[in-house]
Amino acid sequence: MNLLNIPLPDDLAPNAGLDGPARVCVAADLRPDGTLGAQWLVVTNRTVYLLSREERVTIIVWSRRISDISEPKTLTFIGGGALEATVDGEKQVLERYTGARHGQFNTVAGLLEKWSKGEEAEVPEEESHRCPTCGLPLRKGSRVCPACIPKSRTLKRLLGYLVPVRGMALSLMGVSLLATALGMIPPLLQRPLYDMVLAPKPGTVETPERYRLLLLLTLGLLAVALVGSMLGVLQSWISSWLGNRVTHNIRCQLFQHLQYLSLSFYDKRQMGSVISRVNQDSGGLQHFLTWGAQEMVTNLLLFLGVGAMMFVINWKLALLVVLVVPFISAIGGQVWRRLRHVMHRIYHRWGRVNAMLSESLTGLRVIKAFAQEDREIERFSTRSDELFMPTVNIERTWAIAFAGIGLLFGISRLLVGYVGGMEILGEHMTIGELAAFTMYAAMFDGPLRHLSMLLNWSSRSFAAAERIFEILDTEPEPHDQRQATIPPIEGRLEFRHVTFGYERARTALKDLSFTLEPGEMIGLVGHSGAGKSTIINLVCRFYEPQQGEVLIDGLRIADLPLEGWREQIGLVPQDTFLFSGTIAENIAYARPGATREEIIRAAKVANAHDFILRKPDGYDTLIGEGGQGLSAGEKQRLAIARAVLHNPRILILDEATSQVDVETEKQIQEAIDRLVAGRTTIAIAHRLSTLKNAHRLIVLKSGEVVEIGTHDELLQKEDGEFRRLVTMYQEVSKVREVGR
Amino acid sequence: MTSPTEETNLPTADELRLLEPAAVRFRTVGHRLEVCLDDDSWQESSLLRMFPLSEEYGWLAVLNADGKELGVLRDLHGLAHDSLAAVREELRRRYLVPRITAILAVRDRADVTEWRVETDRGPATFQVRHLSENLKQPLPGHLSLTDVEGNRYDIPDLAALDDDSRRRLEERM
Repeated sequence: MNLLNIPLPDDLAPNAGLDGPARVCVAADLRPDGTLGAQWLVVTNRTVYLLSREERVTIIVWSRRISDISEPKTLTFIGGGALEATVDGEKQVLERYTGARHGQFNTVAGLLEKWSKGEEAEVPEEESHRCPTCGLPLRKGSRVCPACIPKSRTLKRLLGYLVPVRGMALSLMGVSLLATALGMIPPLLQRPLYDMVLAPKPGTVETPERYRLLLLLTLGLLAVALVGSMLGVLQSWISSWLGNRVTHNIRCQLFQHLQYLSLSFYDKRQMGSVISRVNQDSGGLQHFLTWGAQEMVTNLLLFLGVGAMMFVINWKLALLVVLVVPFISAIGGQVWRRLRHVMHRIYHRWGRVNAMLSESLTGLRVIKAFAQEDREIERFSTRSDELFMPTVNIERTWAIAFAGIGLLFGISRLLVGYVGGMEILGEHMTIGELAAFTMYAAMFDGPLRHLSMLLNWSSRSFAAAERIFEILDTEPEPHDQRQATIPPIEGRLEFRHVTFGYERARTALKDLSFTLEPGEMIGLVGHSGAGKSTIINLVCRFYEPQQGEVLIDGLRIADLPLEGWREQIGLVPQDTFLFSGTIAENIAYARPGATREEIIRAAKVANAHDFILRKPDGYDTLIGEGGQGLSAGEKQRLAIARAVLHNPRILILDEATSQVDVETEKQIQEAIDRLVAGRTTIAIAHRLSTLKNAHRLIVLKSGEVVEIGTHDELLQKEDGEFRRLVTMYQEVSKVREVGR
Repeated sequence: MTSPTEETNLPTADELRLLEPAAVRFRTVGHRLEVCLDDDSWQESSLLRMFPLSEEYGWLAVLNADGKELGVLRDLHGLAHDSLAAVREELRRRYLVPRITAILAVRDRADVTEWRVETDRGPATFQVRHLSENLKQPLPGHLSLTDVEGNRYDIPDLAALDDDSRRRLEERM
């Protein structure tokens, strides 16, 4: 369904009469008075209609010729917006809507603008993200409605992970079956032990025969015990191998997926809670797959087998035992319902504790600088304390539930004893049968006790699995290993009418167009928030433009394989990110196969060679995570060396703002000059020298280009934005100089 | 709109100009706000809450059509009656986040929870995915829910909800 042309409301009064088929029909969700309610905007070939649902019938409340409408535009409010237009020379609000519909109405405003001027415009296709059957929202990039498919999907998917290891899985099944069957034997042996050895009916069995049978039965029990424990060992061994194998696979798949997810996934999430998800959920899943699944299978088999045996021996007694089952499952269900939310809460509080931990340790410098350690400790303690009561509550509930279940079992045992005694006295049953039955009944306890717990456990693990699958189902950036390389590029980079916003309602770049010639260096200038970093994000394809396109040598970069494109780009970021490893490894990050010679040459070009030499371990110097032990200037030069070695066609230079001493500044400048030579370069320039070296400068303001030209041209402009910025910069520099 | 002489009356960037309620008048013209300040009048101006969650009718920034700040209203005491009405109207026009007054039902449906609520803007039903990320508590006692479409629903005061609503919410917190 196209959201821009949804079917007309079917309760529209039949004689309402539109003057033709609808080209656009969009739903708005706020009434003129700001209350929530259904409204529609319909555009036919000639007329714009506003529809409203009043008293169960939809009527046309307003209509105008398209040609009578001018300057349609959207207004952005908090939590929503409005479509405004000039009608009969007066500004009017046509529709009001909540934030979710902003994008649709932006498009509609664009269409109306063109149509009102008599221009042609196609209605674009905007897909609905809801299930056509049940109306529930679908996940981004997914056509599968989670409500309309059976619940066993998660299980199926989990079982899917067993396919590659099916040999082991099948042998586990076999061993489990065997072990369970074996477990049924001892009570069977109990029966002759009582009825033929210990207390036979007088005169039925000879005394020597009784001695022989005693020995045989004991040996039999011993054999069962021996084989049983061997099978037990085998079972644990196979299941732990299986569980670990499967979780390892899931964890790796998860990590791989996290790497390929686009940056916008991480924009909305705290890193700590993502980490906690990978650790806790895959850990919980492992625990379940290793132990839980095996226990569950064994217990289920035992439950069925033992139940059957009890009914075979004496159905009346069996009924007594089975009678408690519904009570126990009722208790279990009740407990589970109470605990589920608490557990959920605990889970999220753990996530918060983790998030707080990672945030606080990452920001330790700032915390210490402002002497806020105590406050952080306090904050942490509060968060940790939030875990305290819910956890205690869970334990308490369990304790009560266990006591209740124990009592039920005790009562059923007593009943069995009493009724069984009656049966023996009435000669409907032998002592041996009762002994065997009691043993089975005792074996029945285990699975029953465990099954309710195991069901909970599996629900929890299913939830963990679903959370993991949720990440796995988030659409990653397109990556295709097969066609990762792209033909050599010349380097003509063009922005053509690019519009982009991180959130749909707020544009960060508005209709931006400019072209960089191959080998040209362009400097981006502007206040923070002007859109400099956004341009870089679009060139790197960290985000995709909402309108317009970015082209390289006339090809849309959106059509190139992502990895191949990124290989052509060298990024020297403002904050150099160094990985834990040696200096040489860090320089060779983008090209792991680089030779020592290439690494050294790159370091020389970057003016990094000399300082590296002065380190006792030279190129083998181990640098910690984030580049501990290196100065800001050193880190910058390593980043430049990295880019030199990478040898990209397109270079992106986000100059560090941090001030370094004059000598270092000179060295970095030299390194940059060498790096830039011959490459198409976009620089976010902070240094005046970079601005002077750039072939052209683009001055940005609120996402729009205000000036383009060379440094000198722009400086000549009286009243120019660039001139103003430079004057300001010089004043600040003067102050800095004085301060030194 | 604005003439150059009026431009000079604007506060500088580092100046906090508190407006005297008695000296400002507000009026709704069409669907826009008009501000009369001293002897100037500003068409198509707007009001922005500086503390939208903690101060409903205080600390309002008064902006002209270009988004330049004319001044700040710390509170509305002393504002003329009709001005007050215009201010409320403008705020209601601009702040569209519904406030939940009662939670009628919360139910799990597949991978979302569905909330049926009563708000100050009428009844609403919406779906929330990943409650942990979309049920937030920006201030103590103030909660906000973000539905799958990105629309927000606020609960300004948890304690003010009726017992049933609060229980339904707390089960999910």
